[in-house]
Amino acid sequence: MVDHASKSRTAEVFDRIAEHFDLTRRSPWREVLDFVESLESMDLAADIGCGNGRHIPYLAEKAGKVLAVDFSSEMLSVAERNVDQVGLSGKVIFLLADSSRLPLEEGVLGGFIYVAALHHLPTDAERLVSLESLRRFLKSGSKGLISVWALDQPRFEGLAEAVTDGDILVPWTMPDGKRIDRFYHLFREDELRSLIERSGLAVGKLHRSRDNYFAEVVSD
Amino acid sequence: MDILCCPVCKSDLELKIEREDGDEIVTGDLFCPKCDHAFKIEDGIPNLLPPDFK
Repeated sequence: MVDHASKSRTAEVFDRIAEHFDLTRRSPWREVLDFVESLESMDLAADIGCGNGRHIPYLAEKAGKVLAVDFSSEMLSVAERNVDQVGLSGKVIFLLADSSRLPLEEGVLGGFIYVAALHHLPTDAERLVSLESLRRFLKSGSKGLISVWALDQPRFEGLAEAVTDGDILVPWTMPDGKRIDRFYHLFREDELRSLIERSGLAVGKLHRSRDNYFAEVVSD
Repeated sequence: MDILCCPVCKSDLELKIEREDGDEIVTGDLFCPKCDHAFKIEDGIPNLLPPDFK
């Protein structure tokens, strides 16, 4: 375990980098759009770890309302501004929350995306609780998409052996050159599959694309 | 708001509105009677981080 791997610290990092993140992370991910396209229409979809909200407009095409959740208040402000600019404010509910202690009623979600966020939770127990709760929030037979960073990426070459538990601090470089460390838990494919299965969600398609694993999950 | 509950004990929350703008609740509280904790709504965004979030 690396030092400083608390959620509140990671949330503070996202507060500090929110505006720069928004400048540099404009494009939605093709893998996410393909998944969203495959969804049936629903009343409520959730974007867990919504960041700057780049996937929200696509979810909004499938859902009456989108619940946009993040643990960084500054990131949520940026997402709200972006959603405003495309005229979707009326369709989006923003929520500051911890994805390992989500404050939702059971069976309310018709689907969710959880893109590049689960890997910021510091412990296996918190990652498991997060997915277990999402299983309960999903309506029966509904789908979610989870993406996490893979351990064996070229950028971490030489590190993969050193970082045996997958926990690592990855610096975010600000425009002035200042580097701010963010906590990640890097996944092996079998670890992601096992985590999802332990949560009680069924694993559908699980594939590697670029430096990420993408897992489609289904509630029972 | 009826999809939300307390992040700690899952109890239903009681909404107290301080300021509204059309449909949006700009400022207010979501109160958990069991935890005796008021979760703030500020700038239209409920803060439902657990009180011991760290």
